[in-house]
Amino acid sequence: MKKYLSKDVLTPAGVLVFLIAYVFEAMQNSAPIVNGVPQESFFPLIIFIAGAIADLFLLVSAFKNAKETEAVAEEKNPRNLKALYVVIAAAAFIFLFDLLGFMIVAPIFVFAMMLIYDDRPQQIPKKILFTILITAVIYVLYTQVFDINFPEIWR
Amino acid sequence: MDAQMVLNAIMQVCEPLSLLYLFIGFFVGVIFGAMPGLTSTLAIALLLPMTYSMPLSRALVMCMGVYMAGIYSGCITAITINIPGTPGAVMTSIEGHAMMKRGEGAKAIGHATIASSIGGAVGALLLIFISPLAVKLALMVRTPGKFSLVFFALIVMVIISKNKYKAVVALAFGLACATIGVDKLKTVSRLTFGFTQLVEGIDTTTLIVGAFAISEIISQALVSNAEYEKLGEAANKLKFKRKDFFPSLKELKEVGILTYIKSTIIGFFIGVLPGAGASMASFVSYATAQSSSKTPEKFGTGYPAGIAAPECANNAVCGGALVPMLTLGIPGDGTTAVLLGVFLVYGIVPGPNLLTTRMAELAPMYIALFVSAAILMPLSLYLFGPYYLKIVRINRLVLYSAISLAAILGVYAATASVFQMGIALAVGVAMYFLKKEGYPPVPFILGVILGPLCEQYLRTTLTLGQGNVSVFFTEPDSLFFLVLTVVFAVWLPRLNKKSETAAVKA
Repeated sequence: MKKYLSKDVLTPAGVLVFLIAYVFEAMQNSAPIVNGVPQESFFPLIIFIAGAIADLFLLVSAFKNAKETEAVAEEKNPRNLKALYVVIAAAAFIFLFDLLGFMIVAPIFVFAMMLIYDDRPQQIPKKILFTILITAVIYVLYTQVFDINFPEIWR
Repeated sequence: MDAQMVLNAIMQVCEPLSLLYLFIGFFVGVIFGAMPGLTSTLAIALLLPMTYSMPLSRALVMCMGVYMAGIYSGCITAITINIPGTPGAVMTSIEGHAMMKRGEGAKAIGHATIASSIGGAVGALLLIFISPLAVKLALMVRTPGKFSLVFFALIVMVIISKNKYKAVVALAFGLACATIGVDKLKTVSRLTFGFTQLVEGIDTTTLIVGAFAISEIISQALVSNAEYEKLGEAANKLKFKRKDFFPSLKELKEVGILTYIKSTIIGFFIGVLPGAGASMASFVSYATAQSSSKTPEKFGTGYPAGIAAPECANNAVCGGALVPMLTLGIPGDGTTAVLLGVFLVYGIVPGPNLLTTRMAELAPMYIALFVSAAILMPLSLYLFGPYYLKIVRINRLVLYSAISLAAILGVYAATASVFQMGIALAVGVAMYFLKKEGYPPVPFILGVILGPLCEQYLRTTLTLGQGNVSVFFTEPDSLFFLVLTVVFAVWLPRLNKKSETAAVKA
């Protein structure tokens, strides 16, 4: 059973779930064709058919490959966890951006990203200095040059 | 494009602010092209939200600087540390790094710069002269033909992908994202999954930044910083003087003017083919230069003609790839696909009518492409050449942290919506996993950009014909593109195979 839980199987399976949810939502609106005229769910249905056929091919061939080959434990790359940290940091930044504003959240985000990208926590004062510089440059670029206002805690 | 329009375009590009944007684009392109992992596509994706506050012509001028310099600068690391900055510089690394090992690295960069400049400039001129002819043909295309044309573009993008099934899935994902929000033909909302924020749909910038920038900043977390610093140390040991960059007249004669001309023409016309791109152009031109050379045995040993041919061709691709994009609305490669996103930001619908209705705004782009190719030579050979090697030494932590912040803020700048920032992150995560599993990102973005047009033309044709699909086969323009789709389906994989064989042989 474990050999069927490889990424080759799970990725097309996940895509298939997305496509089914997508076409199900599209069908809530209307029938694809009414009196010979294509409706708003017509094109999503075509996308579903094309995508699902290709995805099923991938799923079937992944199942076949899994059946023919023995389950091999995938090598765990410790840096994979770093990719997860990047996603968590970005999600936290987006969540807090509107609440706390640029000035508080952006420097923390930049500093966190520097720590994540580095192999180990080191040269912290240098990182703090670069964090301040990056945040300042990006703030000036967006607010002064491109005239975009960011949310701030005092605004 | 008449003489008056060309003159106006030159005047616009020569305005101090336009020149400043061109130079900014140029330097951003050089940095993104030279650093392994970064591409000019990503650079334009990051600059996309910043272009909101600029007039269209200036935004396009900056993008042209990024495009030309991004393609060129892939040769810098290809020659110096044998790591091509862009896929189009793979062939350059074969000859260039061999020259580097002989102590002629600066000269190899000199040859690459001269060839890139010639290829890019002539490619831009060919674009200026060929576009009006292509426009005349494009205007003959009617609605069923327009659908077949978009269909052709989508199919070609799938055909050239390594795994066609995965390309179809990526394309379906992009098309699906493009259908979310108000249906423009019936003005009813659809596919909102209960989120009122999705009624207006997902912004093109959100999808482009998510697919190219956010997925890349996640991927970069997998790269060891210590390993990357080793590359910087290797580059640190190299020191070039300005005079070392100039090849002698004898060496240029040995390359031969015919090599420059042939490679430029090959590069331009491969660029015109949707989906072919810079790597194919450099493979084909390298193979052609080798097969027509009097001294083919010198190829692979650090021979300047083996640098000039691919570099000339991959920069000529820039002009060629803009032909189908501007006249038919079909991007020639990933960068032009993102460039179409810039058009959409300004409310410009790509397609056959584009050049007739908005030519005055687009003309500076042609001139900027030419200028950015022409300035390659003086800027690289006389001014910044010795400093190019230091690009690899840019602190990676600083660069990627800044890119991360700029990417996410870019979505806010474009949409003023935290919800769209979240969507960009979700798309980025999905694209990161899909890319890791071999699903190509370009069909996705093509689906996002061409999806609405594809749906509009298909539904309009079927509505007018009461659901009759035979019109796609009876209208001559539509039939032409359907036949072309079949021809490409047979021919492009063969051309791909040939260029891959050339790469392996080399």
